[in-house]
Amino acid sequence: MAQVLLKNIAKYYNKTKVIEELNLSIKDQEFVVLVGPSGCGKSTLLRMIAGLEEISDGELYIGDRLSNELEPKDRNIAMVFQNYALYPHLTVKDNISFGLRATKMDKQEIEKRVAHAADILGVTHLLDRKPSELSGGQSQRIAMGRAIVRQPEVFLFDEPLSNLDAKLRANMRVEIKKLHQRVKTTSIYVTHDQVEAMTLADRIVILKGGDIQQIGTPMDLYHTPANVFVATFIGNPPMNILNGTLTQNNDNSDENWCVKFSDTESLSFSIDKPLTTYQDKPVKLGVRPEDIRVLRNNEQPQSYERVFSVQATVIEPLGADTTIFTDIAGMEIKAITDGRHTIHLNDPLKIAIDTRHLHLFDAQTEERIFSTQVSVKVQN
Amino acid sequence: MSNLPTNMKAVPDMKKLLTWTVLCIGGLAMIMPLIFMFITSLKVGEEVYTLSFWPDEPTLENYIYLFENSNFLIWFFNSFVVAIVTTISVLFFDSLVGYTLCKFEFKGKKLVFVAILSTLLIPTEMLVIPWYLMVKDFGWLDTYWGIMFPGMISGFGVFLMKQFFETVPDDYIHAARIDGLNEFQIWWKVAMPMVGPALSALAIFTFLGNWTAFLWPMIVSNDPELYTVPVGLASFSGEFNTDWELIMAGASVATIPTLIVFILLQKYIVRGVVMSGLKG
Ligand SMILES: Nc1ncnc2c1ncn2[C@@H]1O[C@H](COP(=O)(O)OP(=O)(O)OP(=O)(O)O)[C@@H](O)[C@H]1O
Ligand SMILES: [Mg+2]
Repeated sequence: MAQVLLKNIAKYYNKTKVIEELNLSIKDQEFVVLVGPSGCGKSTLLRMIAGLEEISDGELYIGDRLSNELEPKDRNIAMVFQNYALYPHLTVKDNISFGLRATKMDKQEIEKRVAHAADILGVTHLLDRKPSELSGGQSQRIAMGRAIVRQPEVFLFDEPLSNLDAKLRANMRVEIKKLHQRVKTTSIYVTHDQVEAMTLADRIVILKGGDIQQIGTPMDLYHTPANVFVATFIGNPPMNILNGTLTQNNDNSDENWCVKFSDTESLSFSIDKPLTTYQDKPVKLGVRPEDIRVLRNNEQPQSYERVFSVQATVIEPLGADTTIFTDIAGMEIKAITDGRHTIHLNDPLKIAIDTRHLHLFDAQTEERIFSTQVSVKVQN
Repeated sequence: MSNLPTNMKAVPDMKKLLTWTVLCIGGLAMIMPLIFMFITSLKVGEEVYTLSFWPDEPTLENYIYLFENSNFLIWFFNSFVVAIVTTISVLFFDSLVGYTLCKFEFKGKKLVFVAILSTLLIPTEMLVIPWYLMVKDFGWLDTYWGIMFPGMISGFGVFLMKQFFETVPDDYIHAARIDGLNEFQIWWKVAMPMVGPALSALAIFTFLGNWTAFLWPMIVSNDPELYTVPVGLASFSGEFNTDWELIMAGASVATIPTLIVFILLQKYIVRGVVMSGLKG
């Protein structure tokens, strides 16, 4: 097992820069997920770690070894591919043992490892089949088996679940988590599915256009997103972003700050941090859909909630809860409400925004200025 | 009521009938020369020049003469050697070059590919003279190598294989690289098995092409011991008379390997033709 260290890593294809000055330190036994939109360089980064793609600049350490120039086979890694890359002409058993046989390993040792891996993954009964006789989920397991038998220092996964249907994906996600808890091999996992990222990762690395946006635990990213991109990337449905102007309230109420969306609509909240540099400046206010409640008839809001009168424009029932689409001052927002709460299209509604969990972003840079969550005054 | 179903069936039946008629006519047109060839091979003397469907006295005399009094067996062997060796060579080199052009990036790759493609534009007839001069200078006249060398690699095969290696996802190659195979092993053990149908198609085309090749083998071999079947048979056609019955007998025998290849590899031929989008 090993740590992985990326120092000022860069990748150019001819003149186009895909990744620039990327720094990342992955601890031994850690499960790190690289996530980001299509084309942001996730696979490229992973392939550079695997040695399948040349590193244009910077230093890569796997364990304590500088690995830039090492052949893939000498890097002590194993990789699971999106399309599994099972050799169609070989049986499952031969597929799993292919790499070991290439290294001229002792036959008995190979048998032992294959049996062990098959046992872990529950595929012992499939060993004599050809890949064409396997289902997607089974192929996926075999691909993992091929990685496990190598007993590598680092596992690399490139969107291993994206060819599976939703239910199977959820199952395999748990399997991968269990596997990691069992073998504890350092893992780097690429996906563009934020649910996979949240559920699997010890730490998530969010990439956009080859740049790291934020590194942190799933909860870090969720509660204190570094910028609008991260805020809207993590969480489903994504965080609502409302454009407005930050103003200071002059009255002596507890709510000392206010974001004005329009002449008539604004949201007041209280924070104990001086925001004077942003006073009267445009800002973006972020509110998660789960922090907006639809009030039932005659229900009174809590003291930390601000109420807006709106109409639902789209209703998405999901069973356990329902997503309501509506707007404040012409800006679309989504709110999540209890699935048992019946709401009709275009009914007048009162929604309550929880001011304890607001995020404020710079309108220009989109960097986070402040999240109320951490420092909100306890008002009850 | 009872004739309603038959009425409804009548339409597809008409379609089927039409298809079958056209196919039968086409098939007959194709097979007629072969039948004519075989029947003629059973005739002797003046009867050869009559259009009778079945000879008055069918005889195997021509075959016996062919095997006992001519070099036919040697020619058959020569053809076989030439066709097999060139086929193996084409399979090996074309797929190796095609794979390299498909999966590797290197300077001048485009140029190399275009150069290989451009060889397809030059007809054999134009190449025959330079080839002949080469063969003469190198002393390859009247050798197997002289007959075979122009066909050891084919530009068409390189192109075909390059296209087919495109269907092998890079992930397989990456996986094999991580598994520790060297590049040659990756080609041989991973990529080649995945283009099996393309290899069969190329093998068939190459084998048949060389089995029936006439112009170049005729030019390069003067020694009757080195004739291939088509060249040998042509030698029955003299300045004053042509032994059609012998030519037909020889051609009938020469068809056998072709038939075997077709029957054995029928499904690959169809698939190969469909996949490569060419006519056989
Ligand atoms: N061989 C190449 N030549 C030039 N540009 C390339 C090459 N391979 C990848 N790129 C570019 O590098 C960028 C990153 O590609 P990469 O495959 O790493 O994206 P990704 O994050 O894995 O996306 P996805 O989620 O779609 O898999 C893309 O903009 C792509 O166009
Ligand atoms: Mg990718």
